[in-house]
Amino acid sequence: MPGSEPPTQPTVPARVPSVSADPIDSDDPVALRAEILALRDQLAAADGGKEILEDLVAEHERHIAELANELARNPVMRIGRALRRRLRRR
Amino acid sequence: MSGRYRHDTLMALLLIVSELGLPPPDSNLARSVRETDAANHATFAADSNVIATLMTDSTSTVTPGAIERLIEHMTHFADLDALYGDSDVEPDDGTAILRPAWSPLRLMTMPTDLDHLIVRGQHLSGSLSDRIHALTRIDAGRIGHVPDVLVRIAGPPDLDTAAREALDRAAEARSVALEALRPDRFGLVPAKLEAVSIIIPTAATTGADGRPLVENAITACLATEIDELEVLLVVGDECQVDPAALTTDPRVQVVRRPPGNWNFSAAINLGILRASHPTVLVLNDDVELVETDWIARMASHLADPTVGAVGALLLYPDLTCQHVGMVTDDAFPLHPHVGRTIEQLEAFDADLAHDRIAVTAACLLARRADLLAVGGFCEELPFGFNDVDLCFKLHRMGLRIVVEPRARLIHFESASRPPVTRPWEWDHFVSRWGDVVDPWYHPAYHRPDDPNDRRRNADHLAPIQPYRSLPRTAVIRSRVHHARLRATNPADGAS
Repeated sequence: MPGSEPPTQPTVPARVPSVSADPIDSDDPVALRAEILALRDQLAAADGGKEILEDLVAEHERHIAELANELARNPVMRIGRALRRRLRRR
Repeated sequence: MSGRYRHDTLMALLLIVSELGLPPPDSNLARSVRETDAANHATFAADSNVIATLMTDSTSTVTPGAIERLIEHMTHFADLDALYGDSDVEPDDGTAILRPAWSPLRLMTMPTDLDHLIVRGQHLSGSLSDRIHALTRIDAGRIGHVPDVLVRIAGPPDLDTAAREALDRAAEARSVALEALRPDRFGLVPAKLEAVSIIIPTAATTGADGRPLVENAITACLATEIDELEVLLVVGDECQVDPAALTTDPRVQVVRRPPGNWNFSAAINLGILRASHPTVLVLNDDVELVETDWIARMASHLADPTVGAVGALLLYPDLTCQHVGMVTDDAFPLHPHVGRTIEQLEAFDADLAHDRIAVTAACLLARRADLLAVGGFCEELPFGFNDVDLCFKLHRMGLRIVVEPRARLIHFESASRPPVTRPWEWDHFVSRWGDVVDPWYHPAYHRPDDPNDRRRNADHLAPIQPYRSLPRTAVIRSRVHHARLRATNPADGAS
């Protein structure tokens, strides 16, 4: 409409923190207690997950060692080493 | 040598090995093993090479090769102070007594099962009372079971007066009292429970008679004559009747859960948080009373501070077994003894209280503080595996899970919800725990390559021979479940 001011968006001062959706920031005691329970649950199962990951890491390391051994025995690697020796001699 | 070593009239067989290491295979075993009698105990007392003593009856014989394996186990497993194995019974009919990992409860309920024991060091007597004494002095984590037939016995040892006294002292040390059920078999005396909070999540589903199933569950609770009783019905929008109309008893309270999809774990956790008593019973709404002392029988186990959760014997309406604890095979939870009558359970000694890796949350008694300490039930497992997950968390806290089969309820299993295993729940469970080896499930029953038999595996199939494996303790450990653990986020697909 001619002459009227354009509608302005209400602005939020930058220093006011936004409302967190994380339940741990809630002031509701029920929500807080439920969140603490959920965190304890994750903590109680964390050791199990850690052991599984350690097993996986150990298994992958074993595979890597096996691959490295296999690679070392590969004829192409042998030829490569021979070439490097020849190059060094020149 | 034949490999069979028969005792003289007395007590213990000592295992003698060089302190410098194991004797070479097939070496002269006469150097390693000596039979004993009272006259030469003094000789052995002066022998510094003794690493362990086999305590058994004079009529027992050692199976071929067992001595060598025991010497090896005792040498290689320095953290174990005592070992026991499986036994054959003469005359040999091809069946063996297969034992679970160590459980103090098994010692108390069936003490004559302890037909042999290998204890580190020199012991100059090996009677049943000595075996019981020896075990009560050793930390539970240092007692190992060798899944291997070590001895052949003529029959169970005699529970004489000395052994009975030793047994009573063992029970007293665990703050429990024993009562005889049948010869050489014992149960725990029911305990008076002063106060309990019972949590029943319910949608008030109706049964065949048109009445809400939960009414029977409420009746089973109120019949227990516990002084301070609180029944918390956790209901949501799905509740089919006005929950206030279910009962007028002031001990029954309704807890409304927030709107949202049904989540069994969240409903139970809400109840645990609201509970006002130190002991909590989680109960399904589709159970029915058999005997009024069911909670008192379960509560007798909580007097032992090492027990974290207690389950009950749940029966189908035809009074055959639906649940008497769970086992896990290839990580999958199974119900042993399903479909067996109570008389058949007695034949397996499965009617005696015993340790299990898990019990169902359809009826589970625990201390509220323990449940809170492990974070209650996992809300990321809203339908299935949440009870097994809880029991694993309690195990990892150092607590034991036991089932008391003399606490009995009829359970209309899954009458209130369809029995569906959701793949994403299974993936989440496996990502948490992998393939936990069940210490109370004998490896002879393990059938990893026969998925069709898996549901029948739980003690229903003949054991597979041979099944020799290394000593195992009651400690559970997570490891990769190669067949099923997905590389993707286990929460994918959850809805």
